Amino acid sequence: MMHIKRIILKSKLYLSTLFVRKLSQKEDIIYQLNDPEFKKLPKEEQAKQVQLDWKRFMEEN
Amino acid sequence: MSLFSKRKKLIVSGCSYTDNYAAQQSLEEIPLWSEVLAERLDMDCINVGKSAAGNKAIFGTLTDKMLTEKNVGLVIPMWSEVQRVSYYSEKSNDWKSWHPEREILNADWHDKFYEENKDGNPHKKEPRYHLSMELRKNNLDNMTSGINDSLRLYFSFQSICEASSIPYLQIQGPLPIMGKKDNKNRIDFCKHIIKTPYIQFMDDKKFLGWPTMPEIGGFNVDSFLDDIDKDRTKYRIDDGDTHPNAEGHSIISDILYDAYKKNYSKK
Repeated sequence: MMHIKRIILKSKLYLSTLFVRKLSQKEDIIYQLNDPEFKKLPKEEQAKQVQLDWKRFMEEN
Repeated sequence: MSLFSKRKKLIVSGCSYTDNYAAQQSLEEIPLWSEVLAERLDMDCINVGKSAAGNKAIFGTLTDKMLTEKNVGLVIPMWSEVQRVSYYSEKSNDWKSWHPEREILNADWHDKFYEENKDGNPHKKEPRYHLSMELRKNNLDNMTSGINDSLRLYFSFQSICEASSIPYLQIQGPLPIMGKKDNKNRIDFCKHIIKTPYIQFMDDKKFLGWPTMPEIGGFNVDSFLDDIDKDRTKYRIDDGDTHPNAEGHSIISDILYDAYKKNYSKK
């Protein structure tokens, strides 16, 4: 019984790698924080950029 | 909750998906899933969840409470990320939890602000950072040991509730591992969970979304909300903060309410 359950789960996992779930992520422009363009942004947008930069760092490392 | 209330108690624990995260962030107050659920079940709500809590803290706060409270109607842990570590501090009479990998990466990210003074990064002076580095150096922060620890907690919680005849449900809150650009850690997580003996012992009628990852037929709150709100605009606080908003909390309470009715309504 357990053996069958494991086979089913392994099959599901294999199938999921063929159809990778993708979230519809917006392609945000992420400025480098020392970019002169970044410094021209309004404070609220700068805060958002910092948050995006942090998130990207966490996901890529 | 009145001191003399005769209503049954709903006891919940979890991380920021359960705690009053919005209030902590000075955002507009939102009705939490636990409050909405308690109201629908006509129970009093006891929420011992705490932002950042790891699964050991969630298990500890919940079992401590459910074994001492009388008239318990339902107990629910909303589990967190498996790699978070938790320690009980006698000094502050509270649990301290953090995610070692995130702690290190967060400190590394802050280096860019201290380029002229490499030793000036205060994040690298925090005890949590040093503890996290020690865990890493000794290979004690790996994902598989985190998964095993959490599986033991899920199963222990289930066993305690079954043995004590306490009504319970379990659910996974955020994605149980850190989200990464490639899906390798998700696949590794699934492969490992399939291999463990716990896969056959969890009651999937009471653990909603078991085995917690959509890749193997389960779900967690994050994946569940993503399925019905792919661009994360309806049920999350905003595009930078993916904690559930008021509507998100309401949906969570709906799925728990349905599961309660299915499992515990008198036939």
